[in-house]
Amino acid sequence: MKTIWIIFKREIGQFFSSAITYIMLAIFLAITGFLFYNIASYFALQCSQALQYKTAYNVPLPPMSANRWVILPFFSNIAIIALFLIPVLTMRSYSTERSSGTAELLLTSPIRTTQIVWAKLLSNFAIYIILIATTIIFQLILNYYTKPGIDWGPVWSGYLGLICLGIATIPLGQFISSLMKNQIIAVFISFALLLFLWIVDWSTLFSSGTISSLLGYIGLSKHFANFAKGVINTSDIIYFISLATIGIFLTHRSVESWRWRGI
Amino acid sequence: MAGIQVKNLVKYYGKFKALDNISFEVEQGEILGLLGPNGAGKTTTMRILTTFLPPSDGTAIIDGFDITEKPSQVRKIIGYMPENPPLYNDMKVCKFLKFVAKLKNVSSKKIAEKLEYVENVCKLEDVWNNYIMHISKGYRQRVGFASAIIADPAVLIFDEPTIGLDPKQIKYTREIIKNLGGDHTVILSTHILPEAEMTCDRVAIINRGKILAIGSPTELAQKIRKVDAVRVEMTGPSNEVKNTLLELDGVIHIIPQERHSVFLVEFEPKWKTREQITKAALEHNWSILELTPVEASLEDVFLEIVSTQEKSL
Ligand SMILES: Nc1ncnc2c1ncn2[C@@H]1O[C@H](COP(=O)(O)OP(=O)(O)OP(=O)(O)O)[C@@H](O)[C@H]1O
Ligand SMILES: [Mg+2]
Repeated sequence: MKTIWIIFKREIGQFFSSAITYIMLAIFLAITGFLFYNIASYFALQCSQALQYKTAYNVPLPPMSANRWVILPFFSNIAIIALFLIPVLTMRSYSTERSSGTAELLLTSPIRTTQIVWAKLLSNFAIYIILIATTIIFQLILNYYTKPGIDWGPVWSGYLGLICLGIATIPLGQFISSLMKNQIIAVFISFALLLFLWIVDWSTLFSSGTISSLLGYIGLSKHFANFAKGVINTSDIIYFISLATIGIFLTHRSVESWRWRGI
Repeated sequence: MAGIQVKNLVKYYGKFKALDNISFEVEQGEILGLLGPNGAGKTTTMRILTTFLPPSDGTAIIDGFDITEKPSQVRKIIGYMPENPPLYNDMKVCKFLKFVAKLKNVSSKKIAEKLEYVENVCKLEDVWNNYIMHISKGYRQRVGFASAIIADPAVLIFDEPTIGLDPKQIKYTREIIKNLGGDHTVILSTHILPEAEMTCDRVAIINRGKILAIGSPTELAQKIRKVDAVRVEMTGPSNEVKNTLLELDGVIHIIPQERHSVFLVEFEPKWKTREQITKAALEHNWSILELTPVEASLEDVFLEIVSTQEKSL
């Protein structure tokens, strides 16, 4: 545990000493801010139109839910951004240890592979949580400007969904990073993998059968969408945890294989 | 059993045999030098001893722990400085060394003391608060050295510890290593013969994955020597002297030296060449000004071994 903490701190330190971090943070906030602004202003436009309708034709006001019109699309968008973000977070975890030779220090120090793997997972995860948490600002703004405020239940379940998304995909990204000496290649392959997992269930739209229902199950987006809607299913959670377990297992295997195969 | 016993190490990289049945022993407190040309297998040997690479066959016992069976025990007792010091560029020197100390289980009470120790011993004061990415090659080397010794491990393995250092620092590093011997078992690798002669108690000459000879520098020089040599200076016309010397039994070579009356006479050891030279001088009525045996330096030995092995391939 102590060792995990030591490596964890180093990883976090490295993260905040790198320019990529700040660029990433800035881009992330800019994009999410832009999205939020657009979605919210569209919602505002809809609301004012509905009010005009009400006064002009004396029809009852349709239910204008900020949760339905702002928060739900906002979460789907953040999830997509997270798919880009996570490979950037994970790309350096192992690739640079190999390319810069520091793996030689780690692997000849009295620490276990498991400790390395967990420290790296947790550090990436911590950064991911920080990034995701910054978007709570937008929820607060929305809450402030709507009457009687937003329904916080789906908001928290949406965040839980984003956390699950991170738990499931960060290990995969780190696994790819452990296979590649080059972080740029790692980022592209991880992104391709996550994108594939995100869209794979689209295939179920056009075909049926066991394969397509399997593909439907392994797709990330459906499982995430439930969270964003405010529905928390154990089966979705099991799905994310399983994906995480596979990723962690593969990463562990891969780093162990450095030991017996050489780097 | 303390010390290091290397037993029949074999290492394949794919089909390429980088180590071919290497065995040697290092006693506790001894400094052993691995001496060999590029690609000899020095780094490979060290990487196996430090459990960074697994051997294809054979094993080694370090302070009683088998590297293949108890690698985690081995990692607790070794300090390793790889060929290219593994450093995190985005850390400050002091932070990095603190990190390494913690990784190597230096207790938090002792960390400050250890940091001060390596700062002084490795002369890191000038770069102590600098980012590693900004320090020079020589300083990187020193930080690598510091990280190997910071936890005061019983066994130290240095892969080319003086490469990239300035002459003053080379001399100083050799002294540090010498001082580490005694309390620590040390293996270092080098291509530099004087370095091996100066710092090591024993030297193993390695080439193409094989240990060709092992022993103290002087032992090695004697063991391998197939040719004896004497320096001769006689009064008498140098041409005549040269021809006379050439006619003696067992003489292989006559090499003119700095002054034209001085020759280096190389001969097969079994002939009593020095006696013959004295006799010849008496016959010609020359007087002998110098007749000194020349010891083959390790460098000669090294070149000799490596080149004979190359020929026999
Ligand atoms: N990872 C690897 N994959 C394939 N071949 C390798 C690998 N590492 C080393 N070799 C080969 O094994 C041989 C021994 O290499 P090694 O690095 O042990 O030599 P060395 O004695 O340390 O040389 P140098 O003095 O140049 O550092 C070389 O021929 C090298 O090309
Ligand atoms: Mg080498």
